[in-house]
Amino acid sequence: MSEYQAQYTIPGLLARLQSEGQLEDREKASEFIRKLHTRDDPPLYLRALIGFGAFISSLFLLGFLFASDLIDEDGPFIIWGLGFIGVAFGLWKLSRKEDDASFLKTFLTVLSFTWMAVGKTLFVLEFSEEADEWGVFFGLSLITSATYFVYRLTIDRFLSCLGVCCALTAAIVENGFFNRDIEDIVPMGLSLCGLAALQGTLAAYLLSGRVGRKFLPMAYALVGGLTVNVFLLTLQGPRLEESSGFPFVLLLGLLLAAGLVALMVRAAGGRRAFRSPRLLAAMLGTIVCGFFISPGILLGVCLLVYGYGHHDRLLTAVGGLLIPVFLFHWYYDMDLTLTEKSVVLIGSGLAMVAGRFLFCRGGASEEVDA
Amino acid sequence: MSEETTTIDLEKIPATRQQVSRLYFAGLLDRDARLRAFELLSPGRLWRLWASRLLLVLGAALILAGIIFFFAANWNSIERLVKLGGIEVGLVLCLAGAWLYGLDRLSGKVLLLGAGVLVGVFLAVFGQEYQTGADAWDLFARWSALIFGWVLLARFVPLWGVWLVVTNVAVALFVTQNGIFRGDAEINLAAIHAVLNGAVLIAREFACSRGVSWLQDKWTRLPLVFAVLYALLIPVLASIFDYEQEYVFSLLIGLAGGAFIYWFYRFRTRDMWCFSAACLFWALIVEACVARAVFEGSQGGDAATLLFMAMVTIGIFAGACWHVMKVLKEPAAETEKTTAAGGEKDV
Repeated sequence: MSEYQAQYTIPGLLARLQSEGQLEDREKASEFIRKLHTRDDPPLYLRALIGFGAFISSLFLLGFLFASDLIDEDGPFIIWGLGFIGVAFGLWKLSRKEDDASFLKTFLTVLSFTWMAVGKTLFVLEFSEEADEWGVFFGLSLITSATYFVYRLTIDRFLSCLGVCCALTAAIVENGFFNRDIEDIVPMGLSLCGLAALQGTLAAYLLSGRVGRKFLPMAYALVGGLTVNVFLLTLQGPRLEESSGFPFVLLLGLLLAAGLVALMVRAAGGRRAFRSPRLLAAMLGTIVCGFFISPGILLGVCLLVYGYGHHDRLLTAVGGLLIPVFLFHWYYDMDLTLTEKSVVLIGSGLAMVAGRFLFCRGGASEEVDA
Repeated sequence: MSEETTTIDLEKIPATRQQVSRLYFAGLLDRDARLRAFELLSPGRLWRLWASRLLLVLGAALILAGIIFFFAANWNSIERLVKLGGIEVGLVLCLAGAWLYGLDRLSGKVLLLGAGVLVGVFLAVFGQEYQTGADAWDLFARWSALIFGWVLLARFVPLWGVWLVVTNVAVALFVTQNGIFRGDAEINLAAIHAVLNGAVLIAREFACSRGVSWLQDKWTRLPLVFAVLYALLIPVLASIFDYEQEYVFSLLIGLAGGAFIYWFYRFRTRDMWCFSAACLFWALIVEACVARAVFEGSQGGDAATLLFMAMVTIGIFAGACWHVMKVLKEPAAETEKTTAAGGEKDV
């Protein structure tokens, strides 16, 4: 990947801008970036370890609460939930007083996250008892918005927001999929498509740098929620289309193709893109792909393009993984025969290779040793 | 651990588009400077190079998937000669293209990858048409053997990936279809996968230490390490919860492999992702040992046991995280040495 990207460090880039007369106060800019990073979380692999531990221990802790009859199926979940959340917050505050490298700090962090996970689970249980399928969504939204800005553990922010996204999708799906009334299916499918568009747009906005770094976990969670949405619609779309006659998968594909076109326009420097015949052809090709290709594959390409353009390895990796996953899934899609699918795949593949040769003819490829 | 870290070395922070935008929205860069910074970070030339390669790789992947889908439909109406001949023509064209472009260029490598996949398609269709009666493992084993020479020649990670998947499937099918391990002993298959993938991982590390450039990217290591650790973990956990005499070699392989990976990525070639994965491996083993001891002693999941297990789990994982943090702060002498020698990049 690195051979395709200019490698600049922050001081290197700022020095270059200053030498070109584009930046007046380099020190101030450096200080600003330094301040952004003094609030850095531990690296991703450490957060994953914390998450693993907290997940397993929260299961044991929940098991303990029910096995000891401290809580039964009638609750009261909300009191226990709020109690656990309060203690988790206290433990986290306590952990911040400890030295970074101390065992006590790590222990308190894992302990705090475990209690937070148990607290939120109990809190949400109360709502799920009260208000059917929407209860989980409302409960989780409520507790996530209450804790997001005060309990600043990135992994908690990410998982809670992902939970909210999944709960919303589940609530919409449960209304449509299982009721099976035609009048419910169309609004449900349209809601999922609308939700996907909203999640994609909001994630792009939050990742753009316009808002603080504290919203990054929310942005990644939105990408996760979008992936779940696309997966569900790709999985169930053909059946829903059969019963309602509405082409949900096509709509989703076109939405994602439009997203990909927007990314291409942005990468090409905005409106300038419309002056290039080659880019116009590429945009047209992308829209055509929206009609035929699995939306999941388009989502994968969108994430690849966005990740590359924004130097975001996580999104690039997710995009790269989604393409084979959705290709594999498409094999089992019962809506099309294998022959139809193979024609679509070979056709799109040939179109891409042809597009590449168009690029090369314009001297764009400059293929170097790979 | 939560948010604050004290010393920030800006030289270690790569500049990104997002940071430039943050500077712009904070009023520290003007519009022109922002555009110039974007241009420096993602020059149009590199964008086009990347896009052209993405088109080539995606296009090739879709065409190959389309060919597989087509032959999976098992057409009876197409003549045998046309089917096999068509695949052979494709194979020859791919090889001719690879020869024409050369294996130093991405196009040549992708064409050789296409040829490698078409060999498998040919063997599958041949088996369908002539009903050779051969077991499925035989097909994958032949496929793996036939393309191995190209894999060595191509110096192309995706082709290695295809070969490794095919070989793993061949081994798994060979073991299950020939009844090498029966009943509980099937757990040993995981150890065989671990040894196979572990051997490839060791070869990769050896090549990297010798400065082989096409293997330097970190992403070529991580999936292998995760796959090996997962395969090592299965027999160890199975032995902890329900030990059988047949597990003994797999158990030893699991423990020795886990220890080796821990040592290697801590002391030999520092890679915090792989080292953390090794720590997770050991944390899960300790957790499983404690769980077995505690649950056996308490004859089931009573409340006190569950509470005890929750606290023990927190302790084990806090210990693992603390250990990783400590290693993270240690100077990575070996890695620096390797990087200075032009070898693997610091991770």
